[in-house]
Amino acid sequence: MIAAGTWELFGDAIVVGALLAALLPLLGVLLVLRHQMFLAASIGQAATLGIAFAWCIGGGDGHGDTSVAALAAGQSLAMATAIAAMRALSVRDAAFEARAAWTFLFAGSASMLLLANAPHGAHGVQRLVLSSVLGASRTDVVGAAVLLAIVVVALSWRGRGLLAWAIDPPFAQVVGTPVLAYDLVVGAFVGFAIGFAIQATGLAFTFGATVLPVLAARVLAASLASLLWLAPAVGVAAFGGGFWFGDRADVPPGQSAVVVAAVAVPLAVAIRRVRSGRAPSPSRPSARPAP
Amino acid sequence: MTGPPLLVARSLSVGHDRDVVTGIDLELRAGESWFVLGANGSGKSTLVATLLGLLPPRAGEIRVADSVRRAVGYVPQEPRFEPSLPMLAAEFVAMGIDAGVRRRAAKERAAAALDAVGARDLLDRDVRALSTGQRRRVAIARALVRSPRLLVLDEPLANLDLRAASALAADLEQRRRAGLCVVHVAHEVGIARRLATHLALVADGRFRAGPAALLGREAFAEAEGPPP
Repeated sequence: MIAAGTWELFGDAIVVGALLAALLPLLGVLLVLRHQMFLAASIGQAATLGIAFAWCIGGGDGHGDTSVAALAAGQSLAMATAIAAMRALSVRDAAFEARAAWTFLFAGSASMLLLANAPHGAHGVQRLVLSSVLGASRTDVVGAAVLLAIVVVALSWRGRGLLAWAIDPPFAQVVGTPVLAYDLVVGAFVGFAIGFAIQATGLAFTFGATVLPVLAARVLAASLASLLWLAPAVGVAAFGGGFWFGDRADVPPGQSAVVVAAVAVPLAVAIRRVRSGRAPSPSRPSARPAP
Repeated sequence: MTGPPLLVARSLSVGHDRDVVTGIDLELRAGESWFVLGANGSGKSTLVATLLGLLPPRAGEIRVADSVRRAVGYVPQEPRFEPSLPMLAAEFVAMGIDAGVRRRAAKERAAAALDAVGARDLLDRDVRALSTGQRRRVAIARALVRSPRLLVLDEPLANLDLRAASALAADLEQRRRAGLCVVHVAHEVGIARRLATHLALVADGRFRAGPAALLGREAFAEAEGPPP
């Protein structure tokens, strides 16, 4: 149980954290399928650069408060980064990984440089990079709920098409999937959602919640369908555990949730080993096909 | 079998950043079995990618019948399997099914498609644990699950054992007789001698095509190349 009064103070933050902990692993599955696991971090840095730029030209007080202009600038850069990455993989541009790394490094450094001499500027950027989930507002609750609902509907309605687009764009194009439209729409959505999550909860929690639950769930899941419910389940459980620990130990709950999700990965490996030790069934699938 | 063409190419040139094959004139019709033959690197796969709309033509035009646009099956030379996430063969095959089909029905169709390539037992297996030949059969099932009118297979028999290759060839021949147009991309002419109704020869950037009976033995000999 969380301490008395925590819900009254941080109810919105808890709900936002739980919603994002369910949403982000679903995006994480997509990014892993597209071999773009680090894209979440690049998008986050791009969003940070957009916000820093807006602050730099007067779109905010540099104190960590985000104006509409700053939010728009952050979201625009995040969406542009995600769309470019989605398109790069669809056209088999081998340089997309290098570009993601370039974006991460350039945006991460440039955002700090832009505000290095501004009052509270560097502090504002650091808040975005490191901040915890506690700053989330009622508006963030609504935003996170809407984004999660969109993803659930899209997976139910276009799950197979999304899968074909993610794994095998040439095949998807031949069977009539509008690959370019998917690149634009899905890229824009992923960029927006990750940019939103970063502004609500910070880069560490967003990146951790996007990637770590997928890494844990994929060890235990037997199919893609089971991965799509197991990964969000791991994410929500890690957030719950992390928030409880943070509340008890009086440490930042966002970072606690990331640590719990990180611990879930080797734990999942151990569980799998125990399970496969009990049942001498199918051999562990390998990345390379058997001869 | 005759009828209106499913796909027509006129004065087509294909290539990525330069012309690889030029002078392509082609008409594909229902019930035909085409073999696109040529040495490795001759431009066969580039030609097929252009016909499928994956590459823009460098010159000329391609017309595809409206009834065929959403009824094309395609088996790439190297189908992409995701190595880092679990995925059942049923899920992989179901990728070929359009939206709107419910999950249970999609699985039944995936099972039927796998059955057609002698791989029904793979339905609930993780594709990461399959052999190369099994993966190829799963990829062919993904193309067949759409009940295509035009089926394009890039090196379809590569990595298949003799039994699986023979079963697949028999199944494709049966489907062709039922009206499917099959386009094989191959560099070995043995199977083409048995199954081809039409040949397309790609060599030194030039293209020649026509009924196998008309092109005759010379065409097969040309495709095989000089004896070692």
